Amino acid sequence: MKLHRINAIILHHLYFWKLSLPRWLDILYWPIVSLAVWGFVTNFIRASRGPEEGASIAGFFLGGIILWMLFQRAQQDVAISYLQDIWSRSIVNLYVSPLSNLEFVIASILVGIIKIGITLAIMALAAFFLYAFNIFSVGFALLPFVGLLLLFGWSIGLFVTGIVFRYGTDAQVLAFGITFVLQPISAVFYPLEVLPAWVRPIAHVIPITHVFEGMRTVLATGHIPIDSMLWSLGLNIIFLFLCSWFFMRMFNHVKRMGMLAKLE
Amino acid sequence: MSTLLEVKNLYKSYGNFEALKGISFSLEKGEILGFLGPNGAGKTTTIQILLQIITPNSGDVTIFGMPAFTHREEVLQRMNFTSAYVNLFGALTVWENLKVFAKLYGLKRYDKIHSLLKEFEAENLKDKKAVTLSSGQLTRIMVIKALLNDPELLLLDEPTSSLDPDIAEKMREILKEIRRTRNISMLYTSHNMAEIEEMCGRVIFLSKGNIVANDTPKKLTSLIPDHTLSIVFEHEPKRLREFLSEKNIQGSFDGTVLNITTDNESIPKILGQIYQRGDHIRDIRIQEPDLEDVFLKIAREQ
Repeated sequence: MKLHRINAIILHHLYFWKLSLPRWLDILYWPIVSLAVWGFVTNFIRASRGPEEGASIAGFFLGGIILWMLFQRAQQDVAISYLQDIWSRSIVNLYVSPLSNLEFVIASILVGIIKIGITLAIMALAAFFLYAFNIFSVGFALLPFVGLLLLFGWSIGLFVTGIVFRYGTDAQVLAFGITFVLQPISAVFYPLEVLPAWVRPIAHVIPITHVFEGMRTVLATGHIPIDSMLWSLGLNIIFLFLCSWFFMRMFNHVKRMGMLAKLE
Repeated sequence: MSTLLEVKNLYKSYGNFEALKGISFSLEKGEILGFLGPNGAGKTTTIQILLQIITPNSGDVTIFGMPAFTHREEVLQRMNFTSAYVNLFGALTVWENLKVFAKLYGLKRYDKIHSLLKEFEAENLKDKKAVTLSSGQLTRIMVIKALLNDPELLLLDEPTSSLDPDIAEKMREILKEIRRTRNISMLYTSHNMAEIEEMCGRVIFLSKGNIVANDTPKKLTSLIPDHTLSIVFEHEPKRLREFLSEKNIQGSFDGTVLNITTDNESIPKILGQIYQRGDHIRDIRIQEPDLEDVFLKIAREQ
């Protein structure tokens, strides 16, 4: 692994980002729109349930959407990094250089962290000034929560990229939509008990379910649920291993089939 | 000369289709080796295996004395590639593209980009977005990209296919100059036979995954003994057909032009016989076989 190659891919992503209005809108627009929608919902709940109970439920929703957007951003950063080079038919130029997949992914993650930082800052400020919700009221637990969400986002990003390698850009819709499959079953906006009994075991093996459960515990009690975090970390490690293995398997399959240069 | 690239028994199949049937060849330092063959012969597959974007079923590839597949990083650091079918990052400017690739290959300063842009007369393109470049401009920038890391081995997949004839000629001159001054080895594919004949010291003909010929262009063309002798008469000669038949000379008429296909040694004798008839001859042309004839012969035989 060489630092100069990671730097090259960081520069490559930054150039893409700098030049692209849609990418800036992607960072700013969706988080703000999502926050606005859930903010209006919380205003309605506050009005109908009274200030104390309403504030508590509002915290669940707004905290949920802020953390959810960070997870979604992390997943898309990895998957779309590959897609943008497939779209421009330039991915071969990268793979005929000494660049490795690990270097590419690390660079994509590092640039992604900057974007996630911007997303978090914008959403936190908007939530505070528009809806009087302070995401930092979660306290120090916010840091591991965010870390665990990002880790799972990167794993899913690798999984989706593996599918795109295998099936081409016909599968690119997954890069934008796969998180929505996970959203209903990972208890983002409601407690795990709300889910049907048969769905709960599935929800339990999704690492981010424990993050959202943990966030609600912190907001409701002020107590940091270490067990939720450890569960999430353990599951994250398993998912990272499985998704990386799947990604490499698909990448090697594409090389065996001679399809890398034909990806589009 | 020392061997820079050695390929042994390279085999690649896709299901039942055998793209390469165990080919072996080598490339010496400073040599330009041409790869010719009809579509589907295995040229691109071979190049992509050398670049390690296709995994072969079996076979050994040694580049710079190292087993290529276990020394990917070291090997790719010292070689480069350009193709008419691969793009730059379209949304980035030429300068940004070249800067990213320069960094990828570990260049610390960007003087090299400036000097190559100057050498290829492409300085005016540096602020243009890659997506706005014409095919010819893109090809030039791709070659600049391929030279950024001072490669010892350059793989060129139809590098002039989208260029105007004058720019293609210039590109060939630049590549020959680069080879001469920097002693770079090149593996060169093209559908332009004359270009391969001009550029390459040795040519490999691939057909259906096999190497069917591997020699210098001169020796390959000598495989075809037939020359075409064209004699242009002032007027259509009388009774020439009967004369040719008597002398057992096979020829065909196209207006006042007589075309005879024969071996090189028989040409003076045939010319002497026809000249003695006293017909007014306006022009005589002798066309030697070229790589295209070799290509067609091999393609037909296969």
